[in-house]
Formats: sequence, structure tokens, C-alpha cells
Amino acid sequence: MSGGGLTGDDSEETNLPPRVTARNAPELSILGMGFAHPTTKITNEFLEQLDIGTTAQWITEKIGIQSRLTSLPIDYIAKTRNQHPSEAVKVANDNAMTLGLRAAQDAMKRAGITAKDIGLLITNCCTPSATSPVESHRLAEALGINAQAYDVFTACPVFALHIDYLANFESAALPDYILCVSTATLTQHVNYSDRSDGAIWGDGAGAWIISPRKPGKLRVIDSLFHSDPSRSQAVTVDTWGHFKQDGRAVRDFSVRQTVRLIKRLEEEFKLDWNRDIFIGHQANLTMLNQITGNREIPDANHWRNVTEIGNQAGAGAPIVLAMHWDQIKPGQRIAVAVVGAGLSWGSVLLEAE
Amino acid sequence: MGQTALGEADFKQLEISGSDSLGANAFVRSGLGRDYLAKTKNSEVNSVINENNQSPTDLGLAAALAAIADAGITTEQIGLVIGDCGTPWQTCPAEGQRVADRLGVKVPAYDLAGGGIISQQIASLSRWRKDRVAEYALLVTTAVPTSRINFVTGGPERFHFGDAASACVVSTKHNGKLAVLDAESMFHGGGGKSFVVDQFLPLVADLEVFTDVSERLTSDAVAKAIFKNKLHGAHIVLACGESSAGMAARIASTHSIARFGESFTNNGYTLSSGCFLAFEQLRSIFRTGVSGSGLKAGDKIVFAQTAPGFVSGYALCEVR
Repeated sequence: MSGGGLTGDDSEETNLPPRVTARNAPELSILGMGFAHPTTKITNEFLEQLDIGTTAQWITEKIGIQSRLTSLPIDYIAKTRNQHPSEAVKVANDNAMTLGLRAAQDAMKRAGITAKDIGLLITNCCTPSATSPVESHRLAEALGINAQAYDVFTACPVFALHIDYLANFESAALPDYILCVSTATLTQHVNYSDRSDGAIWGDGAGAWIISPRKPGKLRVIDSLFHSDPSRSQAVTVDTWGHFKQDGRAVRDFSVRQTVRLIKRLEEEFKLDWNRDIFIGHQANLTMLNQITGNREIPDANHWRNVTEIGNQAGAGAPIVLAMHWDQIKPGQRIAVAVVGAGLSWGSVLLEAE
Repeated sequence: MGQTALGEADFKQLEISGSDSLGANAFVRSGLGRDYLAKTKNSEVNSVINENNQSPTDLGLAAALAAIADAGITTEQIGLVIGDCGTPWQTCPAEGQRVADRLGVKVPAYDLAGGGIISQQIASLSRWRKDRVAEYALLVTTAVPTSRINFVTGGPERFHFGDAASACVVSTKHNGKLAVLDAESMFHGGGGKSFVVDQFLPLVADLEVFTDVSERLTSDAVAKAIFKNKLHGAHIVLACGESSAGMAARIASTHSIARFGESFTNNGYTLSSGCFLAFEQLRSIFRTGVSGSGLKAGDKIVFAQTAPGFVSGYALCEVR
């Protein structure tokens, strides 16, 4: 895999919005996190058996993903290669809403609150079952939330966008409990005749409860979100079609931009990789290893799940954090750097209370 | 002159200038090409991506350019793009990112979706800390509902919906033609039963239920704007995003508002651009623009609409 240009093109860093720091931001805390996945596994051996010009060994060596979790029946993929996504929704065992619902319930349980406590729901979904009403409206009704609900959307880097978006507000304008959800079922939009796309994607939903005034396990120290829309067509999901991406361009951008995001956090907050944790966009293991190799982040402090679940789009990074929720140590700092469609990118620095 | 009424103490004024763009092809104000519609009647909605048809992004771009020109700035001055689209032709990337791409701006862009500019975006931005709003932020909402209608098998929705985009430039640092005094967004739920744009299927609408609920919620939003801001007198103007004919007139009558703008009769139900279309009608009626003698300085314009979901909202603006 090409990882060229780790120092990159500085023009990508122009017009950065004001950064949020503890000096001028609401005191946002994460009180609880949850996640949900479907249960059907797509192994490398299964992809090899599809006879689409790839092998289990090649996938392992090139992208480091061993398996993915999909909402589709495995027989359906084997039989149809999902040539028609409109058929996939008819046979799928889950959709973005059902996964998001379970993740949200998990997050609320961990935070010790119920749906009636939620004062705002914001959702990110690039594979909605309907585009109007929006995903947040469906989720709010399913959860019984009687509060503001709308979508705040950028696909993959949404963990950074949601937190940076909330950091824009006057603290008093935010309710006590905010539910953020990112959910996606990309496998329903993958053309499994394509050996690259089929090896990447998994389905999942992550959810997190944020408060501007209630203490939580993780405090937001810093957040940033930015985008370069001139490359908006590098990663697309057609409403009626398949996921498509300019693989090489996105790969190089992802490595370069993630390294930049980490460097900034290292310089401004003196991160100690012997203690602090890195979570990146769960694109593939090879890309993540390039990043951690560049920044000399030890494997034990690099949390990930992509090898077992695949790329879960905007849900990936928050799910990793949710899966490690009980392992977080007091005083530990967690740097989340995420990139993806838009093209957009962002980071969040958290500190455990 | 009506009493100037600010919102909550922490409210930050937004300045606003707006414009809109309609589908260029005058068949139920559709963005779809005449030849395409005549030949296919859009009987397979998933074949709508066609160079002869205007996409939501095409309309959004046109609206954005018109709003930027109306604001007297250049695209290079835009520092933030926020989009919304109820009928996207791609579910990724965000509509705001597609519009920003077509504008050629490399700035933060994403979507705040679920209520459009009036029922969602302005209400959100008006609660941001002032230093967090870009010097000029572009808000865009766009929809091409006719691209989701099967004109062979469809029912009354074939004649009910129209395509439009609207956009505005807002700033906390520069004065505009309108000052946003207050804005509210309210999610009510229940909308999925009467209006759905399914990912793969044609648009489904129970128009009787949808228009009835929409009108009631919009009227409630207007009442809230009036009550909360203690509005009275002849200086109240209603710019109503209509989902049915005569809705603005009925709501204006209910609240004793003499001046109002409509959007439905000439444009159909556009999902989220109705308020701006009504505002354009007001500007056209008074023929002088907001700075002239028609709409007078100090007039309070209540922009109000209800979006699918249901989400209702208003933005109360004062003419400068």
C-alpha cells in the first residue's frame, strides 16, 4: 500500500476554524457509550471463494482485515454478490435504524439515564432507509425521545464533527444530556464483485451521551473538524447504487491527514504514548499501522477493531472507544483522529476523570 | 413601529440575506428535463440520474450563487457551508460538501438535516457562540421531490410537489438586510406515517394528513413567535412555507396578520424552500426589495414552516 506524502500538502490546512480548547469551550463530557453490530461474519476465505480475483492471504497481507460483520445473509452475498442494493434491504437482518437503536440503548444504560432524559439527538448515517424524514427522526420515535432531533452528517469523521459541532454552542443552549449516534450498513451498498470494496466494509452503530454540565468518565479537552469539499466525489454512496471510492487518493489522504492531526495534538498537549491512547479511523489495519509507525505509538496503546469487524464508516472509531470503555484509566488521555468522505477530517482529545 | 424584541439573553444576532432558485423546467416546477419526463414519466425513479435532469446539487448551487451575489460577497469569503437535502442523489458525501465542491471553496462543510434553513439551521446557529460562526456562513437547503415521483402510477402527489433550493448567507459580524431576532425549532414526530422518501421507492405521501398537520404546526409556530416576542401591530409580516394552497392566508387570518407571502400556488410543495419563496413573493409584491418602501425598516418578518418529520420552526427577522 502506498503511504506516500506523510508530510503532505500544507494547503489542506488552510482556513481552519477556531480550535476548541478548555479555555473557551463548553465543558463537554462523555457519560456513556454503546455499540451494536450484526452477527453474520464475512471471512477472507469466503471472499476468496467468491472467485473475484482475490485470496485470503492477499487480503490479510494488504489490508490486515480478517473478517467483517454484515447485516446481509451470507447466502445472499454468495448468490447475488449484491448487484442490486435495492434487493439487499429486503433480505437484510438489520438496517441503520435498528443498529442505531441498540447502540443508543446501550449508551443510555451505561450513562445511567433513560430516553426521557435526552434533550437532543443528533445522528450521522450514510445508508438511511429513507432520506425524509431523516434518520434522527426515526430513531427519536423508536426510542421514545421527546426532544430536538436532527442529522449532523459528514460520514466517517463524525465523532469529531459531532463533538466539535456541540462545542460551538453556548453551554446554556445545550440540554443536560445529548445523544449522538453514528450508524451505517455499508455492506448493503457493496458490490461484492469488486475485490477491493468487498474486503473493506462491515456494519455497525456507535452511540455516546454527552453533557455540557454533568460530570462523565471522559472530558473533552480539544476538538477540531475540517473538510476539503473539492474532493467530495472521492468517496460516494449513490442513493440507488453502490459505494465507490478513489482508493489510492483516499488512502494517501487518510494517512497523511491522520498523521497531521496527531502531530498537532502531540505538540499542543504533550501526549505521552507510553500512557495515552490512539484511536484512528477504522479503514484498515495496514493504514493504521503506517500511522502508528510514523508517530511511534506502541501497539498496546493503539485501540482498534477493524481486523475483526471491518470498516464501520463513522461508527468505527466511537465503537472502538465504547468497546474499551471499561479499560480506560483515570488520567489517561485518548486521541481520536478520524478522516473520510467529504473529504473531511477531525480530531478529539479526551481525558479520563 | 413594533417593539424590538430579542430572544434569550445569550442569543446572538445573525444577519441574513437570502435568495432562491427554482427548477428551470416549468412542469410542476420540476428539475427534471421535459424530454426525460415526456419519455419516461420517471416510472423508474432510480434512473433519474441523467444529464438532462437537474439534481438537488444543481439547484443548491444555483441558490447558493444567488445568495452570495445577493449578500454582496464572493465565494472566497464563505467560511462555512451547511447543507440539507430531503431527496439526495448520493447519500454520501453530505449535500453541503457537494455544493461547496461546486462552489470551489475549501472550508468546513457538512449537513444539518431535518428541517431546512428555517426550521433547523438558523435555530441552531443562533445558539452558537459568536466567535464560532464563520464571518460568512452559507446555508443551503435543496430538494427535487419530483425526481422521486412515478408520474405513471403516482396519485395526487404528481401535482403537489415542486423542486426548489434556497440559500442564505448569515453572519454575526456584518449587518445584512435582515437581522435574526429569534429562531426556534420543534420536533414533533409522527411524520413518517404521512410522508416518506424511501431510499429506493417512489415518494409516498398521505397529503390530507400531511397538509392538515403541517398547517396546524406552522400556525402554532407563528403563535409562538408572536407570543414569545410580544409582536403586535401592522408591522408583522408572514413568510410562510406552504404545503397546500391558501395555507398562508388562513394562518395569517388566524393571527390577524395583514401582510403575508405564499409559496404553494406558483411552486408546489418544495419540502424546505417555501419560506424563501414566500419571501421572494413579498419582495416582488412590494417591488422594492427589503430596503425600499415596501417592506419597511422595522418590519418583523415571521418565516415559518413545517418540514417532514414533523419539524416545525420559525425565524423572526427584522428588516433593516
